[in-house]
Formats: sequence, C-alpha cells, structure tokens
Amino acid sequence: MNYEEVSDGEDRIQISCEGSIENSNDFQFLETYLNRDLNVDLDLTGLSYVNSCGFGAMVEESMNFADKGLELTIKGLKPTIRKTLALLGAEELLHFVD
Amino acid sequence: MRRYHRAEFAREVQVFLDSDTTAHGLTRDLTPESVSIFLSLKGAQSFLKGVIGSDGQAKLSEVRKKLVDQIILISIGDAHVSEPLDLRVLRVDPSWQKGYDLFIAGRFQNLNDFQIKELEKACPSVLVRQSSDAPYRSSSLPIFRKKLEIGESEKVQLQYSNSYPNVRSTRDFVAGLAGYHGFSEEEVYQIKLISDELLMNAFLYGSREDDLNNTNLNLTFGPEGMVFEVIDHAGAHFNDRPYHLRRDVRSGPVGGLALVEAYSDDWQVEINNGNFTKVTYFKSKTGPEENGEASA
Repeated sequence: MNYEEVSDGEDRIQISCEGSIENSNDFQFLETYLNRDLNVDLDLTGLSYVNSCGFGAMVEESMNFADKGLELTIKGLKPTIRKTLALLGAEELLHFVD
Repeated sequence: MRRYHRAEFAREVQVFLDSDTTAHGLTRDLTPESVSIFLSLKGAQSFLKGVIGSDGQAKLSEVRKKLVDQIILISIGDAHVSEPLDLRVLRVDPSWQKGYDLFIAGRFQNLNDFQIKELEKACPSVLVRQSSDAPYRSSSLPIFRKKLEIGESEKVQLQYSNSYPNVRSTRDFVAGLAGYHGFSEEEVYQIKLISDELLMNAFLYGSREDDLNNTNLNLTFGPEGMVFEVIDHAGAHFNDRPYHLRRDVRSGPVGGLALVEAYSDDWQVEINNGNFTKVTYFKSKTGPEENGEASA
C-alpha cells in the first residue's frame, strides 16, 4: 500500500492511500500521527483490495485513535469492501464520513 | 481416511451451562471429534449474572472465563439425549451478530458408544460407523447443501511452492480467471477474498519441512459457476488450525472462514490424515443483470 499526505493542519492531517491492505502492519504508518496526537482523515478511494488481515488492521488503528480521544476518519472506500466490513460486524467500529 | 464435511444439516443444540441454565444454539459443523456452535446466551440470565457490564452487554472476557476449559454438557439434534455429551470448549468468540451470540468451538472427550449413537441419530448423513473399532468416515461422496451445476467446464490445475509471493500471485490469478469467465466485479472481489483466505491457510498451516512443500490448486469454470479446490500436504494438522470466524479485532485476523462461508455457495474440508487437506468451495455466477451491472 502507498500513502501520501495531501494536506497538513494544526491538529489534523489528510492522507490518501492506494493499493491494498493485506498485512496486519499495513496501517502501522498511522502510529506516527497517533504519537503526534493528530487526527487523521483517510481517503481510501485508491484502495483496491483489503483482506481479513487488512480489516483487522483498520479496526485496530481506529480503536487506537479512539483510545487517545483522536479521530481516524475514513472516506472513499469501495462499496464491495465496505459491504465485507459490514458483514464482519466491523463497519460500526470505524468512523466513516461518507 | 477421514472426511469432515460441510454437510446439509443444521441442528439445534442445547448447552447446559450450569445446573439450572440451558442456552440454545445451532451447529452445522460436527464430526465425532469436534463441533462448532453458534450459541445464544440471551436467555441465560443466571449464567450472565456478574458478567454484564455497565453498558448492559456481557463482558466477553468474563464469559470466556466461565466457558473456556470447563466441561460443559450439550445435546444435539432432534433426538433427545438423556445423557448429554461431554465437550471441552476450545474457543469462544463473539459472532458477527450483536448481543450475546457467541461462536464456540470444542472437542468431544472420550464419547462412549451411547453418545456416539446419539450423534449418529442427530446427523445420520454425516456420521457412519465403519466398524466397531474403526475410525468414522462419511457415508458418501462430499455432501453439499446446494448442488452446483457448472455446465461444460474448463479445468485448470497448478502446483506452486509455498511462499507468500506465490500465494498472492495465485490469488490474483484465480481472480483474473474468474473475471475472464464472466463473474461480475463484485463476485470477482469475493472470489479473490476467499481464495486468499484458503490459500493463505494452506501456506500457513499446510506447509511441510520436506520436499512436499507444495500446494496444489484445481479450478473448474463453467457457464454457471466455478469450483475451487486447494490441497496442502499436512492433513494431520487441521485439527490444530485456529478458527478465524471472529477473533478479537485487536488480536489478529477477522473472520477469514466467515468470509468463505458468506461468499461461497458452499464449502467443505476433507482430510486424509497426515497426507493432505483439501478445501473446496463452489461459487455460482449470478450474472451482470442480477448484480445491477450493465450488459455488455
């Protein structure tokens, strides 16, 4: 998976991701922002594939942000991928903004 | 040879949690050695006493403590079981349902003849006594809930050495073939996802440290759908494989086999003890119109 910072605010950063999430550490790059107490808005429009490890990674990072009182928002996820998240009962654990 | 089947049955299960509490559930996975159950604890108020959090929900960790490593008693099927079956609970996971529904997996302990007969009565199409001291085997060829006629078909067979890059390449190859054979975009995604799960399982749990460290794949595509078979060469290890139906999201993969269950028409596991494990799934083609996609 590739990611790019598309805008940087005082306490909020927007990041665009593309490719696939298929390893439990694919979202570990978000730890950097978590450690800086930044809220993160993820644009996943360019994401083509997520497997079960990837779903776990997404949920885990989302919960890590929530534990610190920070927001990790998600938009642009393909409907097929989002349907699978819902099937697994994991959709409600993520903060979608679309 | 032992064959463990995804079979055409769904049997009610009663789980005796303690002396005065019975929970009800459903199983579709039953062998003479193990069972997995979707269990509802909604009516088990006395059992849940002390494990309900301030939000009104049962605390899973507390429920686990009460269930895991305890002997509980269960009965299965329409036949009344006067002497319940002994079961050691191996895993307790929240299902993808909300509330107090759990997925539990357990192994039977030293079933006696009476208990085995009760299992046979509960699921006669699955369990057949071969002889008094022989292991059990299926009564027939693989049993599926739904028969899939795929019509005139094209077969693809391949073998690859076990490695993570090969799993990814093979998964993408399967998805590409599915697209070529007319599965919709959504179906191709589902095929890629569940093939990924099964190929990765074969890689992680089916590898052997010898020259048989290969995985075989048989694909059959027809006008109505496809059949996917993955064969690894470590059949003896299947019982040790973890159930991935819904793990704690903080501790690892989420719902791998649940995805296979949801996105295939049917699937099954066949074990040749110590030689191979074969996992098969069917996927029928719904066609572009039913998926809301424009015809070409």
